[in-house]
Amino acid sequence: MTHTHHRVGPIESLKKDYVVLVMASRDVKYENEGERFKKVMEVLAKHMPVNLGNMVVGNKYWRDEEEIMMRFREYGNIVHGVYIDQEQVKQVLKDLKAAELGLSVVVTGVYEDVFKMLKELGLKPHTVNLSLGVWGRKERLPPEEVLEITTMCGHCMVSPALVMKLVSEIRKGRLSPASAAVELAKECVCGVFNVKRAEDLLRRIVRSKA
Amino acid sequence: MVLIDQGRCIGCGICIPYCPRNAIKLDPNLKKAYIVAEECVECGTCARVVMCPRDAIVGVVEGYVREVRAHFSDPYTLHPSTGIPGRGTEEMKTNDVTGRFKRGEVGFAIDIGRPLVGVTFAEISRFIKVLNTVGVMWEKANPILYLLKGGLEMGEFPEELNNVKLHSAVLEFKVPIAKVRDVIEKLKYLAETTDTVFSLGIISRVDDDFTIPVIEVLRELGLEVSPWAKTNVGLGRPLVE
Repeated sequence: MTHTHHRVGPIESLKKDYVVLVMASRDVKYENEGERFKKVMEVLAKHMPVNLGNMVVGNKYWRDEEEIMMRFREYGNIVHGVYIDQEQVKQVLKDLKAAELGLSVVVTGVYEDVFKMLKELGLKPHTVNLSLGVWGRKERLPPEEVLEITTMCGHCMVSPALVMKLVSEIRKGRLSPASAAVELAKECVCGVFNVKRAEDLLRRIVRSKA
Repeated sequence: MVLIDQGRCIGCGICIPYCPRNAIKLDPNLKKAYIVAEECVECGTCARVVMCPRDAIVGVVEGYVREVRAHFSDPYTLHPSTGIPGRGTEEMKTNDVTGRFKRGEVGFAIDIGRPLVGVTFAEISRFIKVLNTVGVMWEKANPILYLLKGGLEMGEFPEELNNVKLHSAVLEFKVPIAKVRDVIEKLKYLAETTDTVFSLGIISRVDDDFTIPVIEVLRELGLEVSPWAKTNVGLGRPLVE
């Protein structure tokens, strides 16, 4: 499962995109796992994520946020928070470290920036998953500016046709870029889609196609 | 499978752009939307998200093949082999407590069909057979391997699955760092000969001085490493050093 991986775009844009994933390994039986995840969700929500998700319930643009914060399986939970600023991520990690929950935490983003944050917090990167991009018949892919948006859902649930339909609606003045980004976020059920970055990218497409 | 109830559909077409596989079409004569069964991968997006004014999208998965598609395409379907949702395993996300990837080992996560192109089981089988020639250590908990008949050495799926299309499927394995070059050669061959795409992830432990040993090997091979990566920050307990 690599659903927070392989995002594309210019480095300046990627630097405004961080996913914090917290996961309980099924190889470790954590006592009161649900309670631990409620604490995780408190931390993730406290630092103003642009998206929040729980693999039992869904994302905050599709399901009730209270349910996302409170409902978990007995074992094997996975949750996410998405942030646009390094300082937010740093505060999340600081709080998770202090909480000593024992759960695995993965930060997806520009890894040199993540390493810098870890050093400042007295943490060490344990393992990385590097992206070597897309191989094979790349001519079959949607245009790059559409991929910058759709790859923010690693399960590829965000439809390129919907991106273009919403771009058209924005250009006609029927929809704001912010509302369009939320509509796209609903398709990414896990809640790893960066709504604010999508809004910025939609604005860029609208300008370029005008 | 997910269906559009023809009795309820009014042909407004609101659902069409929501499908990430372009599997929803509008019949111009009947003025009704319908789903192309061969293209639908059972991701469930239409049933979940579209605000159909007539509630005409009906989420019903029936039969073995449709269930297999749902296991690999719908993030909210728990896979029977892993007990977690999604196409792959916990891979490096829990490596701080599982120690799945050790120092000196390099993991590969090959997401075939991603992004948005899709892949058949026949093509996944071809990838497995080519990679078997390198002698990789497959991740046995990976759900795609759970469906093989006759073992990993054969790399064959049941005949009825061969032409079935998935949104994507992840192949996961590891090798000693000395074998990375051999694997990359095979992947270059697969990239040249496939009719689809794959997204490639490379997993490595990080040294105490924050260096990533595999990066030097990848650069020697002329490969570009994205600045975007997943980092397990080592907060899991009990920690595997």
